[in-house]
Amino acid sequence: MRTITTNCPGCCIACGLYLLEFSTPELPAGELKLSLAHRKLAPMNEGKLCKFGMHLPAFYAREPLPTLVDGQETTQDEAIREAKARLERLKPDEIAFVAIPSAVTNEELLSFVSGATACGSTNRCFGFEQFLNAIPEDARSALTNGLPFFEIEAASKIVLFLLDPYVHYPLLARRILKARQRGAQVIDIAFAHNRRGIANETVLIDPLDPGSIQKLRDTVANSLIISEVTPYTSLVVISLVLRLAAETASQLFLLKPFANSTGALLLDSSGAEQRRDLFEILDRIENGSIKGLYLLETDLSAVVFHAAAVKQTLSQLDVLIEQNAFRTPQSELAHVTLQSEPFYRKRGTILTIEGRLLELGGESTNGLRILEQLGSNRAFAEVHAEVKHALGLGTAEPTEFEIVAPRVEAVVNVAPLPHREPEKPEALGDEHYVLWYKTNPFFWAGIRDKGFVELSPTALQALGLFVGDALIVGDAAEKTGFKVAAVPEKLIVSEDPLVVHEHVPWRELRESGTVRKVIVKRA
Amino acid sequence: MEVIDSYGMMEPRYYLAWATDEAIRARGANGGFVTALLVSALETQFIDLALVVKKKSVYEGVPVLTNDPEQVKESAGSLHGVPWNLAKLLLECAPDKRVGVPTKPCDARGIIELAKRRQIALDNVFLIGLNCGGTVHPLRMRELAAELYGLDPDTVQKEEITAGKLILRYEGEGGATQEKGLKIDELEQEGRGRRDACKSCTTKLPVMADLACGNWGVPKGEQKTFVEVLTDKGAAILENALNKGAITVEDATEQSIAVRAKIERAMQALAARWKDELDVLTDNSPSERLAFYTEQLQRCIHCGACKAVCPVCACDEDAKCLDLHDEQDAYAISLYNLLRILHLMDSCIHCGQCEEVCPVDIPLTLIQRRFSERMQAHLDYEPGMDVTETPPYQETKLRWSADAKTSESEGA
Amino acid sequence: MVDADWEPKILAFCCNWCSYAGADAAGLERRQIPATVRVIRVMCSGRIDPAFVLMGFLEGADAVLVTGCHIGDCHYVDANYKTRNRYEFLKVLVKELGLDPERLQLRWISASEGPIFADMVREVTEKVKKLGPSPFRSVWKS
Ligand SMILES: Cc1cc2nc3c(=O)[nH]c(=O)nc-3n(C[C@H](O)[C@H](O)[C@H](O)COP(=O)(O)OP(=O)(O)OC[C@H]3O[C@@H](n4cnc5c(N)ncnc54)[C@H](O)[C@@H]3O)c2cc1C
Ligand code: SF4
Ligand code: SF4
Ligand code: SF4
Ligand code: SF4
Ligand code: FES
Repeated sequence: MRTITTNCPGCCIACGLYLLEFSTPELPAGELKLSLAHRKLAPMNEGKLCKFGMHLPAFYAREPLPTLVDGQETTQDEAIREAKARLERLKPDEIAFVAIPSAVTNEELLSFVSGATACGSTNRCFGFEQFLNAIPEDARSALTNGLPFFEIEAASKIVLFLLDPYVHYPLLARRILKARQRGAQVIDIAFAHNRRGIANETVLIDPLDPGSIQKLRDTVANSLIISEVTPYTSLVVISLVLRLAAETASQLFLLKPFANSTGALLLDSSGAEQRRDLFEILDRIENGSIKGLYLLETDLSAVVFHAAAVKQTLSQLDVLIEQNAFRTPQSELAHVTLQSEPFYRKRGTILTIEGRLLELGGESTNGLRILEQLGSNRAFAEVHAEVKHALGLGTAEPTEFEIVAPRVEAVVNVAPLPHREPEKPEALGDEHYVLWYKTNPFFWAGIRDKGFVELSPTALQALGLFVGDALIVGDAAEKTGFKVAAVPEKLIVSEDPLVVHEHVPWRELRESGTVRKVIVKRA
Repeated sequence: MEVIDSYGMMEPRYYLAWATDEAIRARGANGGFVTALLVSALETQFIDLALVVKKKSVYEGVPVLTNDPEQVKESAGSLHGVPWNLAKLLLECAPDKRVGVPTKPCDARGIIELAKRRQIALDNVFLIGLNCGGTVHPLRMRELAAELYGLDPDTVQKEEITAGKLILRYEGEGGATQEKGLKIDELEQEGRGRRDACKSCTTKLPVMADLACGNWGVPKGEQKTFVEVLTDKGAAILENALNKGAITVEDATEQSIAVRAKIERAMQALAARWKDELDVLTDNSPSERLAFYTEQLQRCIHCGACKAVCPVCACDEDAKCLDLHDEQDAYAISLYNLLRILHLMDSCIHCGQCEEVCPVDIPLTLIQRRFSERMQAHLDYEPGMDVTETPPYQETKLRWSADAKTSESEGA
Repeated sequence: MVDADWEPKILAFCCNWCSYAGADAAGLERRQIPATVRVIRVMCSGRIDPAFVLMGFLEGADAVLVTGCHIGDCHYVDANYKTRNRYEFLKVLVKELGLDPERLQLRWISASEGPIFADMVREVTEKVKKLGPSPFRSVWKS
């Protein structure tokens, strides 16, 4: 039996846990079993895990990605040579490098950046580039700033903005409840009431009129605003939030869906001109200006959850290189695949949303070695030292109990923030509903966990639904179930990555954010 | 099929015992008896594997399931800030393996409940019971060190509970080892100290195990382990170590035995007081109780952790509580939560594991205890004590024979 | 407090061989069985998983009746002993949960005891009317 100390890659909290590997002598020869145990010493989660964390042994039991060139099994060295040769045939700006930072270490990210820089590509993407382009320099620290959870527990006024902690970041919920127990005022600005109970006050806003939050300045004044940014956060919403925080002298804390989001945001300090938004990259693949793509530990069809469309877009590539521990729906399109180790076996660090630099409990550096062989061939220690330097840390190895990430309390100048006068919300036709994606760890992993949407009792009647019926939401090819909940009449909530649109230009899809106007029908 | 323990119970015998090997004795919590016993059992192939807890720091110990005596030696000593329950780990082990495992009462009771449910063959498991005054949550232990002892938690090298005090040994100025002790009673008056489940745990001696080992009754200053032999199985593993010369044994004096019994009673009385104090529902009306249960349980995110860790729950993924529960149901309390309460009413041992892993801090142990204690009193049944007793929920005949008539007449 | 027009909804699980036949007989003999009761037929009271009872309550039933053959008369030898055993658990659970224990009833009713079935439903209806709607009745379920 081996006990592996590890962290969950499911979201930016990076909950600590143990994975227990059973083999001989306790099991008959040849048998191997992975199970999970709660690591109560972990300061971010006290050992507690959400449903996704509990699901990790199954998550790690997925099919490994073999190392292949054009579908033929080969050695790692050969595959690396091929990858290099094929990328060299393209012009630098025809190549994109994409790493969604959930199961990627800081060391790998840094190595990836230097590889991309060396190659001269200006299409580097960690999932948050759209904001770098759109948000002025002096406001950007709001994106990278973390907050230790003990500070949340000590806050006196918390405003949740479009964030259901139980669903979006489950291990955050107890911290807010603790703050409440200690007397904090918690205000929930939301599209629907939180049925699990979180706030002492709820302010409902219209999903089609997010601009209405500008009227809430008095409510929000001098608070800790907690919200999130994800690849799908619309620029309108993020700038509204930034504005609101700046104008109400509030502190802003933005959670992110991927375990090493903070590491990724802080490590790559190069300017926006070197980097490109994920959806723009997809559009450029479609129009042929990007011909090569290197995917590092990234299942694009999960993150961009329109699997069929992603496949169609990626099939236009001349060179697709995939480095991953597991097979993804893109693997069959890839020209070169490189097998790396699963996250729990990796040696390296990640930087959590609280600002803890975590040393992962694994021993393998194979993923890093692949990247280094493509680039400058440094040893782990060298890259690791560079990571700490890039993060502004000394030479000492911080423990998980220290908060080390830099935090910049910038005074945001609201003037240059993108600002759109709130449009008059368009009226909804009878058959129209507003779909709100409540994203969560399963969502970003591309897993349909719930299999239903939530809707109001009024919608239930209007649609003539009975127990056991199913719905068609938008252009969805599949049916989905429903649950009656205390949500506003015209709101439909999905925690699943339910595809409700035909393939539209990728940038348009991103701009619609997590709110979509859809037609809902009884199936 | 009846599970019949081929090893019977026996008249208790009391000893003071210690490891003959000085290194083991020095490293052991008391006399190093437990370690010496397991090491010799492995070396003589009396057992195939030992399941022990190995120290990583004062605040962390990891389970080790091994056939390597060296690993067992490295695991000597007691960790009070490491609240594992080891019962479920045994399920990962092939059932024909003979395993020796040091067990706090709650580990042993969990193992016995799993054996009742045919998940563990108890004949193959040697329960080396440890007396238990309780455990502290590791993060609370760190906070204690920092906030009440005024120490850098990372400098604490050793922790020990002696005479009602929690003593921390740390590296002081100039590298010299220093120590500081605070009275546990006083810590707990301030809401610190042991886990709530441990504070209210009345099973202090592992009388359901094969051996009961501890320091209660050991004369002050002596490096020995007080050992009570409870079953033939316990006698057999002890004899095995004796034959190998791994342990030295002397009879416990009447006085030792009396001191141990006295401390046990005092601890039980304290636990009973805590149980009352921690029960926030004592004076509530039925509707207030319903409001409390609904408000607490509505937070459930159905992660399944409380079921997964429960040492008396023997169900796997096909469990009824998971299977019948449907997230699409819009119930005030989910069927999952109610079924778990129901199914554990006869068997919950109040170990606190469920509550400790709940991501949304539902006071699950308190809730389950409210139901279980009433049921267990009604049944006159104590789970985890005797493997020959069937869990009452699974029985056909009523246990409460006195009540049986009323039940029948009710139905007339 | 309680709406005068409010009629309780009572869920009755009936064993095919006895209480269901009894209920049926009561119906045939045109004895008044209050309309408050909804009957679910099972092959034996032993089939009534406590989960069904809990589901009944969670769905908003104002009372749940568990009925079966008299002890000794079960068609499946001793299955109603199990029913009785589980009922003891449910009784403790319902009470501690804070529901009025009267909302849960176990009755043995033979095929010839139609009137007893009707009386029971009437009796429980009266009791529940006094208690008011189940606290589990939620807004969108009436
Ligand atoms: C949490 C805890 C509380 C205790 N409280 C009391 C008490 O109040 N009164 C009393 O008389 N005795 C108590 N004991 C028992 C006592 O500390 C010694 O374990 C016992 O006397 C055996 O001593 P030893 O030197 O023979 O054991 P050792 O040779 O030191 O072997 C101890 C064994 O216990 C295992 N172990 C250590 N920590 C844990 C843990 N947290 N959970 C499970 N197994 C563990 C180790 O792996 C090792 O195998 C407690 C033990 C524990 C673990
Ligand atoms: S998904 Fe996030 S909250 Fe859930 S266990 Fe993983 S890190 Fe923790
Ligand atoms: S629950 Fe009881 S036996 Fe278990 S660790 Fe706590 S005090 Fe010890
Ligand atoms: S229900 Fe909770 S307290 Fe009871 S035995 Fe299971 S884990 Fe322990
Ligand atoms: S541990 Fe808590 S949240 Fe998870 S299933 Fe149990 S009660 Fe629900
Ligand atoms: S057949 Fe009627 S109770 Fe079993």
